[in-house]
Amino acid sequence: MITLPPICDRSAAAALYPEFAESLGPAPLAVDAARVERIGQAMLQLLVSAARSEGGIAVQQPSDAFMAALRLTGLDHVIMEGLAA
Amino acid sequence: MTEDDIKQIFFVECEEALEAAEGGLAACRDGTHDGETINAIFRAVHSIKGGAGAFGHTALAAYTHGFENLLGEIREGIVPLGPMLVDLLLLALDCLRDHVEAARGNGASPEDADLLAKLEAARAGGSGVTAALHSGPAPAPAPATAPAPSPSPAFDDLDALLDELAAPSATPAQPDSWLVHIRPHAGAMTNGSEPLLWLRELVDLGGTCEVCDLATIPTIEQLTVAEGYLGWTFRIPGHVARAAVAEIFDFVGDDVTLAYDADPMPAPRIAAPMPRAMPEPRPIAEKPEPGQVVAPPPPATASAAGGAAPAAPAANQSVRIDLKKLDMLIDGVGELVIAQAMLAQRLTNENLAHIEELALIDGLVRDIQEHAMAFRAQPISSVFGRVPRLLRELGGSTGKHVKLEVAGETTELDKTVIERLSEPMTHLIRNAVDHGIESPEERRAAGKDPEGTLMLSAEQKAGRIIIRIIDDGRGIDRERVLAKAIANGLVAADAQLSDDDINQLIFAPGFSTAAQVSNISGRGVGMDVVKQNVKELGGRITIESTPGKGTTFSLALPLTLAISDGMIVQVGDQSLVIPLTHVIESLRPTSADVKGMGTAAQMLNARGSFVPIVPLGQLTGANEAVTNPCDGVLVLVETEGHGRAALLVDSITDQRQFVIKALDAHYRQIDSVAGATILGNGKVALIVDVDFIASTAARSQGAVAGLAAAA
Repeated sequence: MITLPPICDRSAAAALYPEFAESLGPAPLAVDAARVERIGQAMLQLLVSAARSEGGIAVQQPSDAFMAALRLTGLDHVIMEGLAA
Repeated sequence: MTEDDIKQIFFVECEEALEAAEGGLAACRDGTHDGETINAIFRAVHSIKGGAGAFGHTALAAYTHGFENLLGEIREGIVPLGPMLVDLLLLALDCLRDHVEAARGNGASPEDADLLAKLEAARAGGSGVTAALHSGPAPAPAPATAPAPSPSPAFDDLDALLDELAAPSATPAQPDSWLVHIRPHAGAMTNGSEPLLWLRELVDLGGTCEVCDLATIPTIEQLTVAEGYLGWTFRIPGHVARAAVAEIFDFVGDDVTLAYDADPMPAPRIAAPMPRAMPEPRPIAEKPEPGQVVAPPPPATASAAGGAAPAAPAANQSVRIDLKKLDMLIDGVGELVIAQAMLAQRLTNENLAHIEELALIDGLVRDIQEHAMAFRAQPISSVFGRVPRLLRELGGSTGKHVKLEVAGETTELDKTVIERLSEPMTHLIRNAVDHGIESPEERRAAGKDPEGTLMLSAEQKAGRIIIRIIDDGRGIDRERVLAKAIANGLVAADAQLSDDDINQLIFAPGFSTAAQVSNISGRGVGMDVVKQNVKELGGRITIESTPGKGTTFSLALPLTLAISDGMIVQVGDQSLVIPLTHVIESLRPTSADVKGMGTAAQMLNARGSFVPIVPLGQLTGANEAVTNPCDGVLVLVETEGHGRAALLVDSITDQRQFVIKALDAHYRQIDSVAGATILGNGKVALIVDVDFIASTAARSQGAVAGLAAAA
């Protein structure tokens, strides 16, 4: 389980990258997006890449800001697939 | 860093942007502007808009948007910049300032609908005119639509007509919508910029995300967080001009590649080895720079992506520091100065006062203190910079147009002084315009330029900052001031007052000569507040006024409020500190130098001029103080407005830096005491208020001296 910080900017993405790289596996990786207030391109890319990995990711309790950013960028289907599955 | 911190930075940047815009518009008004000036104004407003959007200040963002639209067209040369337009822009800037204040939580958002309509009209008017002038085929549809709203005959509908003129030229054969492809590169995510903010602006314009290009996102192992892999295609409604979209990306520069409609999505620029499975063609060829021919292929893209990196260190020449941290540093330095004094005292007791290490520490402490003080120093231009707006507002309400001349605006002084200076300055300037400068008719009759002149100057002199506010108005009418003061019971009817004394009367509480109370001045509050403010800053205010020629207010302020140099003197069983800025010399008088005046007063003959002797021992009530000047030491001090005095002390013990601790914070304000400090031996010493002492000495002995001069 990886918890996203409130401010998901580039430095947050850089900080979480090793954790993502290590934790992804055959099973969906749980990502808690409840606290996200702001998210940037760097973190979205990381999530897309993670979502397209073997096991993918399962976003849990996405915050409104998180969902708004996904809709803005047209990435809701790509990243939230894990939730539906 | 919390969101609040970031907001704080935003408001600091707003201040800077407003100042830059103000400066730019001033240049425009003087006719000394160029393309870069307009650009700077545009950038300033644009950056406020960006921050306002990011922080959800919708009123501010909406207003800046309207303002920026007009500036954009001026920048493009579509709307010509004339004096009328500059005035409108200045008004718009004032309103923007109010909006920023409102966003900060100070007051409500100003009414801007009217102004926005004017801005829009100016924009439409300018582009309509030029469209008619320049484009050949454009006039053809124009007459066709212009007669249509013929039922509106009024002339004030001209703007609306022009609007309609401009509109058809923008709409012909517009498709319902069009596409924009956005490809942010690595640099777009650095330095606080964020591609998602641009997307939000596109949405604000009515755009919708068609597709997000994910093709280039590599597997997690090959991902580099700092690279830009995503690209977007947005559908924009047909009525939105391409320029409006391009504007969003104006200051992004190379960090984003745009393409429109049928053009394919621009390729990413990725420095790291690209995943092999990337057959995507590169339709937008990266500019083949000549240098790349020699360079091996991979670094070519690397250099493009890394282009922004070398610029960053050059730009990072300054650091923003929270003022609280800075104050902690200053406080620490103050304690350091005291500790150093204690160390010196202890070493002196051990007969080690002259060891080299102590001198070294002394020098270092002094250096650190000077540098720490310099952190807090700010150019006074931040106070002067607000004056043009004040003059505009005063001009609007009094009908007096006043030219502003400024000198020495780079003079630096302590931030706390700057902050507390703006209120008295505002009062003084209002007073100068309302009372000092005459109406244009009066000025013309007096043979003066109908436009008044207000001059602000600042200079550093003898450890103080002298700020002058000079107007070329009618000067102080001393007879009227005196009559009014007598009528108000401020002075006795038969009082004999010097010109200077009469000038000083205007600082008396409740004094006003204005025939009419206006909303600008005349209520009789203000000038006494000015005097109080300046006094609280440890400063003095003096007036010089020539009837018919104008008035000069001079403010003498200390450079800093925290640490100063002083002379430690012994008076009986008391140690006192005399600020060094006042001290001219110290001497042991011979009996021939001292003349008695009356029964108690004594004067010192200092090379031909007589100076009153003030026995500090008597003033402080110290025990066993020297009373005969010939047994002690006289410290000759000079003040801004009250001449010289000779302070009689027992002996001078030291000369060193001292940390000023305000007395009123711990006890209460006492005349003749400017504060207290802690000496090296841990004892508290009072700091002598030289100005006050010299002024009382001059007053009490003035009559006697006058007699002596007459005799």
